[in-house]
Amino acid sequence: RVTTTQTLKSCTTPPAQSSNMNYGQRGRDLLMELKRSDFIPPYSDDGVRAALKEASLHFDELTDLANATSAASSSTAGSKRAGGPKGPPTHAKPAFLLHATAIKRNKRCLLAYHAHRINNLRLLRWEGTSILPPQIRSLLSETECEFFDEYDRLLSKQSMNIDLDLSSDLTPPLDEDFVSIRVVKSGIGTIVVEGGKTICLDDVGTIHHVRRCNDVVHLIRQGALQQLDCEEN
Amino acid sequence: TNRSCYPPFYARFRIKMTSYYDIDDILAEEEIIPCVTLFDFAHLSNLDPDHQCSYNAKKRRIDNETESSSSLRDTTLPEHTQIKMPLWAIDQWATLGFVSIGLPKHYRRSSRERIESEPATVDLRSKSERYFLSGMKIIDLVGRCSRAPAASLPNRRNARNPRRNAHANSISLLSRKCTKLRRMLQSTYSGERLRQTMDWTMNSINDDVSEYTKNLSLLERKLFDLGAVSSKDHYSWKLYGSKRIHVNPFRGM
Repeated sequence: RVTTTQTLKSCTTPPAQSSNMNYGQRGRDLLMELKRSDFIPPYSDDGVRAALKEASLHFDELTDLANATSAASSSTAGSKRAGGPKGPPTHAKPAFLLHATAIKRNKRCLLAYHAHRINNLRLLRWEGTSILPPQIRSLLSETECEFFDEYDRLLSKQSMNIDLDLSSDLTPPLDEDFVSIRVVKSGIGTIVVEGGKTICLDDVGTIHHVRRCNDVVHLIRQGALQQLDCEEN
Repeated sequence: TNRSCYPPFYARFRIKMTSYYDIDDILAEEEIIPCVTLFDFAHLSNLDPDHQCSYNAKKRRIDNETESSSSLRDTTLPEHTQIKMPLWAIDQWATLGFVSIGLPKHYRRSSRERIESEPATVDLRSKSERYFLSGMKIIDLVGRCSRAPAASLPNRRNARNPRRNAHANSISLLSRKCTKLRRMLQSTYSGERLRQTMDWTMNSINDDVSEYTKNLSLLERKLFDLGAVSSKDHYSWKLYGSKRIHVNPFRGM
């Protein structure tokens, strides 16, 4: 009993063209590599190139077929038939469809391969690793390293713009850590809270939502700041 | 893979894979479907496993000569040949009526009855690693075939075309089989096996359940992994509360 892998591979012709017509096996091999690995496998340059080559072979076959069929119909049935509104004759359609579908399949496999790796790189960045550790860098292609650097730059820039380190503090903040305060006395100046940020407490009457730290607690005790509870707001 | 320390809130940051990029979806379409050609396919004789011709020689001959229909016929896959192709390759052929498809062996009546009689212990992974996913895709294809008109059968002006009727009959027969298959898939997935999965993930976190999980298909295994992760998280929440900072699972492996 012949399985399809055998069917499709055994029909790949005498050894002279043995790399021809694998009908999507290369794409499948790439994806199986992804499934087998923990994080990402090393970038398979050969695999990608083989899949691309297979797609272009299919394309060549397709153009050959198209030329052959239009030539055939023009010689037998007169030039009206060739490439007419009905397209190629019915008995030739399956071959066209098969090659076109194989090309699309290769494309889909390649896109999924790259998309999966890129997604894992994004996840890696969200873990907080701004620099690629060398053992991961060796697994990536150059474009993927570039992608990681660009993404890192993007994320860091966004974090700086909103004054918040986006990739740390992934747990939601508990209420006990924060207090709402209103400035009552003037002339307090700026205080430094953890994380190195400074908060300017000069303007009387302003309300801030800050982390509870020693300075803030002292100031509340001294009466310079008034702690607000939810009910008073 | 040590997925048990995978924090649950990572789902928020995960880019949602649409089914185009989803690897399991792609691999589920690799399922081999037996089908029968409904007319001569030109140029595709190499799909026939028993075909002995030398592809090279024929191709050379066709390219060099001026076209004549006899030389085209040499590489033709004749009508009523049985071929086996992956699902993605015959998707369009089936909906256009070029081939008539059958069910793979592990979805046919004998397998179905065997599975229905003993759903809890049957080994689905050995039949097909993505048993449920591929099954659903096949059912979907058959549904589409029965809805699409078989418009591309070779032009026969005769309206009461026996070939067309035969094809329509075979499609409706296949649809009936698929209804039964769908029912079987649903009852297998959500019956005894689901109950066992729940049992194992909630009550036996520290036990070795690999003997059970090696019978599961991919969809069930994903469910099992999710359940195991949830149980583990629940357990660690009971011990440590929610203040524990999770270690990066990707940290350089």
